[in-house]
Amino acid sequence: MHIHLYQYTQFLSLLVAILCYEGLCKYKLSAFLPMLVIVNLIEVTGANYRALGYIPWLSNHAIYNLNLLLETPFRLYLMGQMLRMRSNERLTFRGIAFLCMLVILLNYLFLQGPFVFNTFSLILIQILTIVLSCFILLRLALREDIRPNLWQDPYFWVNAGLLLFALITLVILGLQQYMQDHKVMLGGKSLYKAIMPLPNFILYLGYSYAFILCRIPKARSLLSS
Amino acid sequence: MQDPQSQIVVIIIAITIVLLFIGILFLVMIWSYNNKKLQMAREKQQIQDAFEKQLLQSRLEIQEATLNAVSQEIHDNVGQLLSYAKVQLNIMEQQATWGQEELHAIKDTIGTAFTALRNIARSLNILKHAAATRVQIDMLYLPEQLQINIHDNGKGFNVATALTNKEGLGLQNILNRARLMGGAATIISQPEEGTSIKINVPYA
Repeated sequence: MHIHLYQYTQFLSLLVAILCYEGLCKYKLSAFLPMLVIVNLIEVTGANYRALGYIPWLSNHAIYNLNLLLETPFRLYLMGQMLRMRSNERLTFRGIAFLCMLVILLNYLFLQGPFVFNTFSLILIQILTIVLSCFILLRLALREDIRPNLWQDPYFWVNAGLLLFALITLVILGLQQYMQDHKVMLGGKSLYKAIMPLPNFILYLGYSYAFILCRIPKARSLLSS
Repeated sequence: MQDPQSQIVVIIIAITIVLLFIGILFLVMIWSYNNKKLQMAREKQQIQDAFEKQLLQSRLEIQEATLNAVSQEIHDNVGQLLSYAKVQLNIMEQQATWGQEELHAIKDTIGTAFTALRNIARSLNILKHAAATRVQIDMLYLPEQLQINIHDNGKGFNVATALTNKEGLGLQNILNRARLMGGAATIISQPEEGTSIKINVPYA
């Protein structure tokens, strides 16, 4: 079985999520657990799909397209929880999330199809992630009540990781098909493989640290500020 | 001249770095804003605390002045009246005359003194409010603090209600004074069950 180095950070974040599950529930982040299970399963399958033999619906791109389909609802749900919206905002958010999922599904089924990497869907998801994580971070900074330093807030680490991940991968994954077709290389390695470990490290280490912070009681984190 | 593929690689990396830089800059700005907000809130809290402390100090000074006035009153008024009554008795003893008029005058003097004393007594807390017949005060000299336990068998009251009412200024005063000395006071009371006050004050 082949496992990339960055996948260990994904395993780590899943392990920490299991250990800190109670804390995640307190912060309404429990959906991270199924999301990380899906991500880990898909990443392991994606890295070892050749070992499974040639199956049309199990090509590398088909697997990552499935990831887009399965991970996105969880990510949108989690971001909705972290936004702490008012009822009218929640309605708008649900509408946007529904439209986003509809576009991804239509792209998967009819436009780009299940066997070509769905770059349009990915660009849409990453733009939405950038916008929503910026909103969440702004809300954290602009909130009225006095809370501990942002460094001690799990939402900060989750969204900082998501923001940086989405900003890097917007270009790299958006051009993934192009880079593959034109064999764009860096130091003898495909540019995709050369750059992708970095945003993955940032994202999953950010998640892991946020999960650990969820375990610290709120009162204690307030006192330590 | 670079080949087109290298140029594409450079542009992709450049755009990625620029985006990453913008992201990090945004996070730093958010963090810096939050820090400034926290600092301002802390400063505001400090100013508020200083103001409250000053206010409390002024209140205590006023109370101190009131108590001084009460003691002055006892000394100058009640003391004088009782001394006068004593002088009247001495005069009667020397003259050996026990007329009704003199006795009446002494009775009046002592009566006035009693009224003045009763008025002063009414202004003291436990007696004024608690309607208690017994007050027990224990002072425990613990290693790091002095603990004062005051218990009366008076009519008692609802602590939460009394503290929120304006009438509970005396109780607030107890809590504030203890806080000012770096200690804490706990008031436990129930209607018809008396009142217990525990005050802990550190030595230094």
